[in-house]
Amino acid sequence: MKRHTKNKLLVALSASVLLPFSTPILAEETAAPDMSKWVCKLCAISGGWFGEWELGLILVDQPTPRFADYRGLDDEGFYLKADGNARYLDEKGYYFDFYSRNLGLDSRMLDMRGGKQGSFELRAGYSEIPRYLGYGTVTPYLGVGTDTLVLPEDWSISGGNAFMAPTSLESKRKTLDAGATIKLGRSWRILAEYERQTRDGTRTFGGGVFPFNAAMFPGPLDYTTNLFDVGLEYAGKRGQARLEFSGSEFDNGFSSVTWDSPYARGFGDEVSRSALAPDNKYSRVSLAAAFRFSQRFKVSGKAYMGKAKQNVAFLPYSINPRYEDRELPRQSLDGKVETSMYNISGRAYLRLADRLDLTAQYKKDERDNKTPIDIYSPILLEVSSSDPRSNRPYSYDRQKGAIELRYRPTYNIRLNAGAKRTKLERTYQEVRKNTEDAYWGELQLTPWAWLDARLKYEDLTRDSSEHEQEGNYDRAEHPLMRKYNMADRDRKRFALQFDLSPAERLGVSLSYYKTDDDYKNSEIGLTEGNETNFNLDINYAFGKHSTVYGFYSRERIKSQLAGAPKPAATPWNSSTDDKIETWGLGIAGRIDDKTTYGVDYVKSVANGNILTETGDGEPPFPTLYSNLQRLQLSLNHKFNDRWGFGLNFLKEEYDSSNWQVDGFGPLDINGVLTMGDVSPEYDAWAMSVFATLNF
Amino acid sequence: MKIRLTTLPTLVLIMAFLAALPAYLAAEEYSSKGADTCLMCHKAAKWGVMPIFKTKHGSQVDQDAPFSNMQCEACHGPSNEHAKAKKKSEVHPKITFSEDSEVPVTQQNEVCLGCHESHNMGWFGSRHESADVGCASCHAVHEERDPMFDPLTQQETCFQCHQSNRAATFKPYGHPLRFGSMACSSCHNVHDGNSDFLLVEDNVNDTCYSCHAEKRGPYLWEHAPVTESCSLCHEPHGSNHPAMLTKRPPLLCQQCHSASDHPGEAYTSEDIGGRTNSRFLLARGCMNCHSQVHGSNHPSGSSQMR
Repeated sequence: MKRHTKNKLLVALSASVLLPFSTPILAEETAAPDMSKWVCKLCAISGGWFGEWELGLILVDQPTPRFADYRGLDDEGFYLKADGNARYLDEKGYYFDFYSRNLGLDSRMLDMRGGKQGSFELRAGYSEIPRYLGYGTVTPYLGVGTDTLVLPEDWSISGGNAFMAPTSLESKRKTLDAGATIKLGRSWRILAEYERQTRDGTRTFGGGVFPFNAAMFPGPLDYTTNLFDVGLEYAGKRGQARLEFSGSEFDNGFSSVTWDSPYARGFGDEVSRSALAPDNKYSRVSLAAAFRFSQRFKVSGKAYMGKAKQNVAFLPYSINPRYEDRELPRQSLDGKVETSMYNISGRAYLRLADRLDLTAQYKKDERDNKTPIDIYSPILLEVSSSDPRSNRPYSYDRQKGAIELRYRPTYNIRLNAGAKRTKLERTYQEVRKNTEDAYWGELQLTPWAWLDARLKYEDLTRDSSEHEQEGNYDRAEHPLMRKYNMADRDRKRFALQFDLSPAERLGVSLSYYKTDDDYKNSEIGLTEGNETNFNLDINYAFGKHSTVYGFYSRERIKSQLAGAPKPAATPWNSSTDDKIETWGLGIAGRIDDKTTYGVDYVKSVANGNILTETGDGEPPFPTLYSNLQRLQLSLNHKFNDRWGFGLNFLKEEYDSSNWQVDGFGPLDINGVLTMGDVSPEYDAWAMSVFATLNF
Repeated sequence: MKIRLTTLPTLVLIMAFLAALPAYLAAEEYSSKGADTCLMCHKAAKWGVMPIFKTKHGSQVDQDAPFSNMQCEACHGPSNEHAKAKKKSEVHPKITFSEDSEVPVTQQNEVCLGCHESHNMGWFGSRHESADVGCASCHAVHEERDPMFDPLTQQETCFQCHQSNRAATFKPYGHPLRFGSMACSSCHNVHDGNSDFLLVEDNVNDTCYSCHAEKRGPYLWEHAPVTESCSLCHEPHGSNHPAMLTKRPPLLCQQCHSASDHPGEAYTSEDIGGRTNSRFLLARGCMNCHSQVHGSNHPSGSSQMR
């Protein structure tokens, strides 16, 4: 009996101690309520079609290539405005979802998906991205858009300007995609995706011609990439996994481009030929998984193995008939080329105590280039035989280990700290191994409900293994050159962020970031880098449904570098200073239940200053400058639940200057035939008037 | 009456039990009529919840959808106390989703991850999870179209925290985010901490190759930094220099190349007009001749000129 009483006491003790702490767990496991009265009669599940369409006209005034770029508004006049979405649902769970934008423009995109919810989904989409890059571009070449560009028969450099004809640099990327997801039971899914990207048109292309000259022209683009991805996914309460097989196949419709040399001297340098991006194939199998051992301990990881292949037949060493007998070591990369990548990453998330979390991560990323190495005997610029040399298939092995502690002593304070080591080992480069150690600490405070503050500091030190001169084939690099991606570097990062709500309807966000890089052992090359970034956002809600907002961003990117033409020469120095300031101001809201409006103005001014000095008192370069101003107005009014109208207005002004191109005609740069680009400048607007249909 | 040694602790424990019980029972009680209880008030347009019935969450057919089982309380938890409270603003449902919620973000997110289990794969320990970003900080499940699924509205959400990236979209050279032709999610998978910088692919180059497959090679004559990371030369969020380069050639190239003769020469402002050196400085700088900087497959392309 006495023993029995003791047992009861223990049960009572256990129950009373455990119950308050176990409430959340019990809550999850609470028996389902009596749902017999949960009829959901107020739920607006009606099924059928619903959506919104905007149909109307867009009027464009004084467009320029830069204004048209990405938008597709390249001609003055009227365009069709057609945007809309529609969704269908039925009581059996079948659905169809359609989303579209800019259907009347060259920047159109649409997405469709449908299926039975909880069972399967089929998807299809299409999009276009137009590019207009030429600004005042001209060329004397005939055959633009093909892989053979020829100069007029009586071409001469001295009279070349007479042959210049306007040419555009336009291309269009089209993407077609389709996919499916099939659910197999509660936890399994099969996923399949296919995407076909094409890119046609022209882009700036060029190349050197003998001896130190160059020619630029509109080179042809005809890219096709097919991508696919199939996967099997398991998603359970405690464990998830996804096995995927994906691939990419790139096909270039042009394997080379041939062009007449404008500077030909008549000894075999009349025609030049370049290889264009070769076809390639890539395939990969990956496995990602996560498992929750408990609420306090979770592990996730991913591993993949991929292969990239490229086996396009080589062009001969030169198009110059004098070298047509020169034998290649192989006719192509011979199909044995493999670039394999292995990536193993994992992270463990461990809750050490109620307020203390630990995350540990390891990642290995390897590029193992198995391209065969051979000796080649290049003919430079079609006429100059150079010393034999071997190709260098670069490989690397990157490993990263990181640990992060997060401690939250109170609800209002968070202290985070971490350490990371990154190791990068390379082949065939001056520095075989870099090790970077990083340590950081972060304080997050919420002293009052209206203030969130974050302060973070990070210190990184990168060390390199012994520097070994790899040479630059023809000419060795300066012995003191330290390439910036491998050089010893001390980096310090600082971040400060405030989110304030000083009044009920007022929000202020302020952030400041600073990064200082010191390439401490670099005498030639990049020696210093510095970036600062300041951002301010303010928004204020007024009336019932209106908000006024503004932002200001200021970014400054500075660097110092040194160079020297030869070891004995006095080094020269160069400093760069990019400053970008962006302002924005807007108001958006609702006048009444039927009318909404918006005004949005943005101004972005970018300046780039460069000073390169040899000690002779050279002045700085003229400032690189651009000034974008964009004003957008919108007004929407609903006549009734179904019909309405809208008005959008876009005005954009752009002004820029670039000393690399401004003031130079296509033949004005000594030894370089350009396309005569000038810095873009425009003042264009577009206005659309449209009807809206809601259904 | 003899008081045993065990009596006092027993009484204390019973009191503790009784003290805990009301809170436990009250917190766990579901509403009597499910969504109909909630919608009595929340059907009004000002709450903005009714569009959920035009979304997948509102389905009563899909067994995994909230409205096919616990309805509003599938996500918000037992809410009878809130429904019965006279001052409803003082007694919230068990789970509320916002940055101002008293419910810890981890607990809010567990509700979402309870159904969207596949997101567990890379979420824990990821940058966003560490920063206490709630699912509801970005997603708006009551809206007819979640803003995260439209490229233009998605970026507005991202820019609320990543302010500098909004300004970057207006730089002279950048990806077409501000035109809506790309979304932040074209490159970033914000749910997956296994990849670098929360990218959609496992590293920078693989992410770039998903649209720029022509750069993948492998080329016969590779340019070493290209194989290591595209971001060594390009700033993908926007730049002051053509092709989103971090600097303008020739200085970009001279950070690594200082061989004797023209790679190591100083090109100053005095070279702008007419002198021989202008060919190395103006137009595209080094790329006037070395146009194949991403690699060349031409047997004579060792200097990236063919």
